[in-house]
Amino acid sequence: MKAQFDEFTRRATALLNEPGILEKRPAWQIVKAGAISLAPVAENAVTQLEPEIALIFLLASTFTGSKRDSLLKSLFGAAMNRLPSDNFIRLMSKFSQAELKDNLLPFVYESGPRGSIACFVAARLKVTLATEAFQYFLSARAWSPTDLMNLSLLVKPEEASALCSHLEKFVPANDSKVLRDNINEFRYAVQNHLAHEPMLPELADGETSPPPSAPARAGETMRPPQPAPVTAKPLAPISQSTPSVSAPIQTNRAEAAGKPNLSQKIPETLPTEVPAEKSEGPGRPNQSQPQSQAQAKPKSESLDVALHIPESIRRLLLPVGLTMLFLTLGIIYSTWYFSDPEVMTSTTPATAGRAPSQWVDAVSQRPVTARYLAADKDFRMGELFLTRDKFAEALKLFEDALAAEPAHLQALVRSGYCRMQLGDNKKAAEIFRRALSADAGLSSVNLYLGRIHLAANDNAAAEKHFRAEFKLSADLTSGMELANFLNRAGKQNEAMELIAELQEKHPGKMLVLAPTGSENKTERGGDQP
Amino acid sequence: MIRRGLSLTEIIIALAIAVMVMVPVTSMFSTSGQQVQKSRNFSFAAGLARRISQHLMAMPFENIVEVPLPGLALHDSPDDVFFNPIVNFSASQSGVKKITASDMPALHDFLVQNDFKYALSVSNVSFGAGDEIKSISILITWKEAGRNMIYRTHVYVSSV
Repeated sequence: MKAQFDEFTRRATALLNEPGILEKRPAWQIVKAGAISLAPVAENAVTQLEPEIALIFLLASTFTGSKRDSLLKSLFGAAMNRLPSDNFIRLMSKFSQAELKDNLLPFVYESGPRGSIACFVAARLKVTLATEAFQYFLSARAWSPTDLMNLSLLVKPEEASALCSHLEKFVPANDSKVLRDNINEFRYAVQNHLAHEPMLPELADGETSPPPSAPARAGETMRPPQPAPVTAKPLAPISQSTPSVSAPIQTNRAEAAGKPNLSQKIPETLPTEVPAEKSEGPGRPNQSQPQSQAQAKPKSESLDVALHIPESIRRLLLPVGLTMLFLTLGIIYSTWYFSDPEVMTSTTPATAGRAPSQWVDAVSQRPVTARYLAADKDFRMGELFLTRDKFAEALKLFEDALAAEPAHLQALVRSGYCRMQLGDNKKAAEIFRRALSADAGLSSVNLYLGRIHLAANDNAAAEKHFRAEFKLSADLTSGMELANFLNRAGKQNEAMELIAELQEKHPGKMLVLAPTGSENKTERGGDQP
Repeated sequence: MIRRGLSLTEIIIALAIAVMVMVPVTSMFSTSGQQVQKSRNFSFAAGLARRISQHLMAMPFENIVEVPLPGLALHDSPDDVFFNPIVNFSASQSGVKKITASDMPALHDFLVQNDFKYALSVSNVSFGAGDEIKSISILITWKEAGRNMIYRTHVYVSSV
C-alpha cells in the first residue's frame, strides 16, 4: 500500500512539475491510471497523501456523487487547518463551482482559522453566493474585518445593491449588537467595493505557512507577499458581551484613505480583549483591535495613491487623464495660435495710417527700413538713366541713394560703375574695394576691378580679380574675360583650355579668343551686375 | 496581497513620458503650422504683386501714380483699379464682387486678419521727345506672427 502511495506521489509530483494545462500534461493519463488503482483505498489516500497530491488524486479519480463529496469535504477540512499553498488553490479551481460550494463553503461557518481560511480560499476561487446566503454566514460566527472583506468578494457584483437592501431589513430584527455591527460593516464593504483582492486571513504563526512536510513546489514561490504573522494566539470564541476579534494583519485601502474603516489603527499597547461597547461611531462601528506591541505590524511606507473609486474607472484614469490633458493643451495652443492679435493692432487708431519703421523682407528675411526703401527709389531711377547710358545723371541718383542709405550695396556698385564709365578709375576702384569689403560675394565687382587694373597695366592684380570673378560667377562673361586676358598675357595654352571648357558648357555658342592686339571692348548691357 | 492602484511614482513617470512626447509633438505642430501660414501669406503676396504688375502694364501710362506707404488696405478699400472690383461674374454691374465682408467674407476676413496692404513707389524719368519710363516698385505688406512683412517687386513701364 505504501509503495502504491509512494508511486502515486512520485507521478503526481512529476505531473505538477510539468508545464501546461493540467489535463493536457503528458503525465496526466498515468496519474489517472494510478488514481483508479488507488480507488479501493480512497479514504486512506485522502488522509495519507500530501494535500496537493490528494487533491490530484481526487481530480483524477472517477468518483461521483456522495462519495466524491465526502472525500472532497474530508480533504478540504484537513487542508483548511493551515493556509493552503497557491498550487493547492490552483488545483482547487479545477473543481466545479457547485463542488466548491457544497464542500468548501460549509467550513466558512466555522469560527477560528478554518473559517477564515475557507473564506479566503473561496474568495481566491471567486466562488459566489446567493443573496440570501450571507445573512446565515454573518449570523453564524464572529467576523474579523479581514474575513468580512473576503466574504464581500463572494457577492456577485450585480447583486451588491440588492444584498445591501436585504441586509438593511435584516439588521433591526437582530438583538445582537455584534451581529448588527458585522452586518453594517459587511454592507459598507459591499456598498463601497472596498475589497478588490482576497486578503490573507489573520492567523497565528503556525497557520500561515503550509505544512513543513509538504514537498517543495514551484507554486510556492508565487505566493503573494505575506505580512508578518501575529504572535500565536488562538482566536477567542465569540461571546455576547465580550466579542473578540484578532488584530488585522494588513492594512486595507480604506485605512490608507482615512475613511471609516473596518479595522482602526492599532494602539501600541492594548489589552487582549476589548469590550464591544467601546465600539462607536454613527452608523459605522469603531472596533479597536486588541494586539500587543510585539504583534503590531508597522504600516508599510507606501506611496500608493489610494483612490476609492471602482476599479474599472481607476484603470481608465491615467489614459483618460492624459487624453484630457492633451486635448486641453491642444485647445489652448490652437486658441493662441489661431488668434489674431494683429487684427486688433491693425484696426486701432493709434497705428492706422502710420507706416512701420521696419519690415522683414519675405524673400531674403532681412530687415527693410523705410530709409532703405527711399534709397531704393533713387536707385531704381538711376537704373533708368543707365538704360540710356546717361552715366552722370545715373551717378547722381546712385549717390543720392547712398546718402539716404549707405548700406545700399547695389547703389554703391552702380556708382562705381558710373565712375568707371566716366573715366574716374581711381575713385571707381576705391568704391569697388569698399563694396567687396562689405560683401565679398558681390558679382561683377571683381570684373570691374580687373578691367581697371588691366587699364593700369597691373596684370597681376587684374588676373587675380578676373580669376576671382570667374570663381564666383563661373559664367560665360567672366570666363571669356579671363580667357582673353590670359591670351593677351601670353598664357595661350591656359586660355585655350578655358575656352574649350566654356565651349563644352555652352555648345550653342561659338567661342573664339579676341586677337592679341585688340582692346577688350565690353558691351555695357552684358556685364552689369 | 497584490495592491492595485497607481503609485505616485507611476503617475510621475507617466506624466514625464507624456511631457517628453508632448513637447516635440507640440513644437512639430507649431513649426509646421507656422510654415504653412508663412507659405500661404508669401504666395498670396506674390499673387497680389503679379496682379498689380499686370494691371500696370495695361493701364494708361499717366494713371500710374504713387501709392505711398503704409499703402492701401485691400479690405474695404475704396474703389481702385487693381482689386475693386476683384471679379465680375457678369457683363453688368450685378455680378461685381468687391473685397467686402458681404461680398467675399472669407477673403475679407483673411485680409483683415493679416492686414494686407499694397503700395507703389513710382520713379518717372523723361528722356525727352516723349520718351518716358516709369520704374515702379510694388510693395505688398502684411503682418505675420507679430512681424511686419514686405514683398517687393519692380516693373518698368515705358510710355512708348
